[in-house]
Amino acid sequence: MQTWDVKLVGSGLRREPRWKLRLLSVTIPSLPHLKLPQFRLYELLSGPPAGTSVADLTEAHCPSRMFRVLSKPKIQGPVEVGLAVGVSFILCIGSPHYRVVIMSYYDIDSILTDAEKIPCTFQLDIPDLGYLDNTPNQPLKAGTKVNLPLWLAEMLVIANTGGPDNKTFVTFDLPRALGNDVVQALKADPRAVPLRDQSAHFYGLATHMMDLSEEQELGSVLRKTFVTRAAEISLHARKVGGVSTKGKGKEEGSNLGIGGAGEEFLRGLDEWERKLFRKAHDGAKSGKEWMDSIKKN
Amino acid sequence: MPMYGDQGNKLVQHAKRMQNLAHLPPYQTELVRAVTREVRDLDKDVASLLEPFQGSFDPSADQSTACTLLVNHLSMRRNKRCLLAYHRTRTDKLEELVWNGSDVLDLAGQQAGGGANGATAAADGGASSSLSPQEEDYVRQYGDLLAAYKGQWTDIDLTGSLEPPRDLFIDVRVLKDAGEIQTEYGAINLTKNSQFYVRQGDVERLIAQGYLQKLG
Repeated sequence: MQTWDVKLVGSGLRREPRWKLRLLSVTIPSLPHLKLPQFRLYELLSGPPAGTSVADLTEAHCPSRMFRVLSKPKIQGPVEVGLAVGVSFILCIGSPHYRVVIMSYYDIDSILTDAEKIPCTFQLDIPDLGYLDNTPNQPLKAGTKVNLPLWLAEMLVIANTGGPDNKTFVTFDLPRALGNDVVQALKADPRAVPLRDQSAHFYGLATHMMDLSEEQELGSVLRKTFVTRAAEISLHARKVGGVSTKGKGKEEGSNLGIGGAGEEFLRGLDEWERKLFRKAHDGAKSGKEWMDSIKKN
Repeated sequence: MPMYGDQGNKLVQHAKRMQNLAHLPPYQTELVRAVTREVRDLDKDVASLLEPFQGSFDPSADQSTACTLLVNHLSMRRNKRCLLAYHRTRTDKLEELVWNGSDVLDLAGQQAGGGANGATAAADGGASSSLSPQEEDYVRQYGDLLAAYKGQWTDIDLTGSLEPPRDLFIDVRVLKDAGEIQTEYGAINLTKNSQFYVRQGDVERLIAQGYLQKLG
C-alpha cells in the first residue's frame, strides 16, 4: 500500500467542498523514462474488506458500494477529477493498486511531517551518495544505516531497482518514536506518554509508517491513544477557558491555573493534538462569551 | 549532517511561525536564494550524471546511478514544494491584510524606516522592507483588483466590519494627520491629536488603517 502526494491544480479552490485536481505525478520517479502507464481511478467509499490489503484488490472482489469509478477505464495522461480533501482513492496502474490520500500540497504541517526522519538501510553500493552518511568523498556501502527524512525515504522504499531480484533501494525500520517501548507505554496509559518528545508530528509520522509497513497492531493502539487523549485534551481546554477570561490575553492566560500534572500533559501534545486543544479552547471560550452576552441583553 | 532539503525546511519553519503572527515578518531573501541555488546545483548534477548515457539510460542496468538520480529528483521536488508553500503562506497573509484594509505597503515602509520617513523607505524600493519587490507588486495589484470588485456596489462596503455597531456615533482621536474627509454632516479636518464625535461608518476605514483611535 503506498501513499502518493497529489498536486492540486489552480488556486482559490479551498472554499469549494470538493477539490478539482489533476493527477500529474503518476510516473514513478525512479524510472523517469517510463511513460505514464494506463491507469484507472476509483474513489474508495468504504474500507477494504477485512484481511485484504489494497494491493491485492481487484474489481472482482470490489462490490460497487465500495468503489465509485472516477475516471474512464484505461485513460491516458493527466486526469481531472473532483475529490474532497482527506478522501482516499485507488489508482490502478497495470496490476499494482495504489491508495492515494489527498492532502494539500501547500499544507505547512504536512510538509514538516515529511521532514521527520526514519532509520533506513541501503541495499546496494552507491558511489555518489556518501554525503548522506556524512562521508561526502566515499561511496555509500550497502548495509549502511542512515536516518532519512520521510520525503526521501518513502520513495526509496517503494521504488524498485529494476534488477532481476526485484530489490528496493533501501529498507526501513520503524523509528524509535513508534518503537516497542513507546507502544507498550501507550498501551499501559496513553495519557502518561509525552508524544511531543517522540515526535512533534507523532500521528502524521505514524500514519506514514502504517502506509509503508504491514504493522497490524499499531493502528489500533494509536486509535485508542487518540481517543483517550482527546477526551483529556477537551477536559483541559474547558478548564483553561474558564480561567483565561480572568487572566489577561489568550496566550498568557492559557497556561494559568492548570495544575502541575495538567501542564505536563499539555506540554506533551503533538502538533495535531495542539490544534485540537486550541479549537476546543476557542470553542469553549466563544460559547461562554455568547452565553454572557445573552444574559446581559 | 547538512543535506539537501535542509534549507527548504528552514523556510517552511518560517512559514509555520508566520501563521500565528499578526504581522508579516521580513522576506527571507537569503534562504530563498539558497534553496533555488540548491535546485540549480542538483539539476546540473543530474545533467552531468546523464550525459555519458546520451539519452539512452537504462535504470535496471545501472542501479546506483538510478538511485542517485532518484535522490536528486526527490530533493528538487521537495525544494520546490517548500518554496511554493512559503510563498503561498505569505501571499495568503498579504491578501488577508489587504481585505482587512491595513495599508500593507505603508506598513512595510514604516517597519523598516520608522514612522516619519516611512514614505521614503518604501520609495527606496524596499531594500529593508519586510516585503520582497515582487510581493509589493502583488499587493498593489491585488489591492487594485479588490477595489475594482468593490466598486460594483456603491452602497455596501464589502471590507467593512461584520459586527453590527452598538452606537451610530463614536468618539475618536486622531493619531496621524489624515487630511480632510467628507461626511454627511460636512467636512472634517483630521489633524493629529484632535478629537471628534463622528458617525462610525464614516471613519471605520481610517480606524482600520491606524489613523484614528476609537475612544470609550
